[in-house]
Amino acid sequence: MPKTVADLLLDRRGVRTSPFTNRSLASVGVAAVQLLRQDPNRSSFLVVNLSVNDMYCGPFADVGATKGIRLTPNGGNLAVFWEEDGMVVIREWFVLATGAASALLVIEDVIQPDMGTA
Amino acid sequence: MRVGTGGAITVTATEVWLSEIRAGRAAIGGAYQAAVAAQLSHIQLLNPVGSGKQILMRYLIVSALNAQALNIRRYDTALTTDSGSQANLLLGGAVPLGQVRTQTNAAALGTSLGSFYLPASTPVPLAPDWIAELSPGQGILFAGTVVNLDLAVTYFWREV
Repeated sequence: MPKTVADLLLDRRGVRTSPFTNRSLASVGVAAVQLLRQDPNRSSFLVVNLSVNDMYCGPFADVGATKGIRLTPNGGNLAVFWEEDGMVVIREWFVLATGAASALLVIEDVIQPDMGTA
Repeated sequence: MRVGTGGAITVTATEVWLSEIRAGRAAIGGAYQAAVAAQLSHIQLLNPVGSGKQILMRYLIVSALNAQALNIRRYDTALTTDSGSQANLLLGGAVPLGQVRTQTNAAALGTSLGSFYLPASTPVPLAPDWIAELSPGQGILFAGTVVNLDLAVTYFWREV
């Protein structure tokens, strides 16, 4: 029987993963809020700024314009992978925007320990 | 980490304004104050106390029947008459919280921020990218400098 992507992931990584969208929030205002909760099973994530305002994010609560990774308007994005960036991918991340009700997209790839291991 | 810049490093005020119109956070409101003997005309944009919103003035249009100098003034007290003219520029959207209010007074109300000369019957648009930001309880008004003259002002703003 042909292998599925899940099977290929299991072969290569030894675990299965599932994507989750906007687990913590879908928009952010001018006060820093949690972007991603701490999750030791998160292997990667992508965050995209869908608004016309700047956003700043980082794995610390005091994120802001002077401390954070800037996501530019209309599609600015950040991708973090465990293979490249290590433990920072599992940390709690925070975000704020320079305008109220700024939409964003967050996709996380999370290990599913109950779905079997290699 | 891989950072992408997306479609734009920065956005223009026009792009922000379009986005706000489509999101239902852009507003319009205007009023006409008729001439009153021995009184100066005032038309105010007020962010009411407790609104919970910031008002960012986008642009405005001001005119009068007769030529006069106009003052832009800071005045946080609500003028006596609420025109009730404010409307969401996403038609049918929620009524904006900002108020356009009018009043006449023998002397100019508030603190002058600037002045300019207004020609007779000639609408003057004031349209820099953004004009001012009003927190709850703050207001800006236009006041004539010659008594017994009318005044008309239309404000455009976003509420965030």
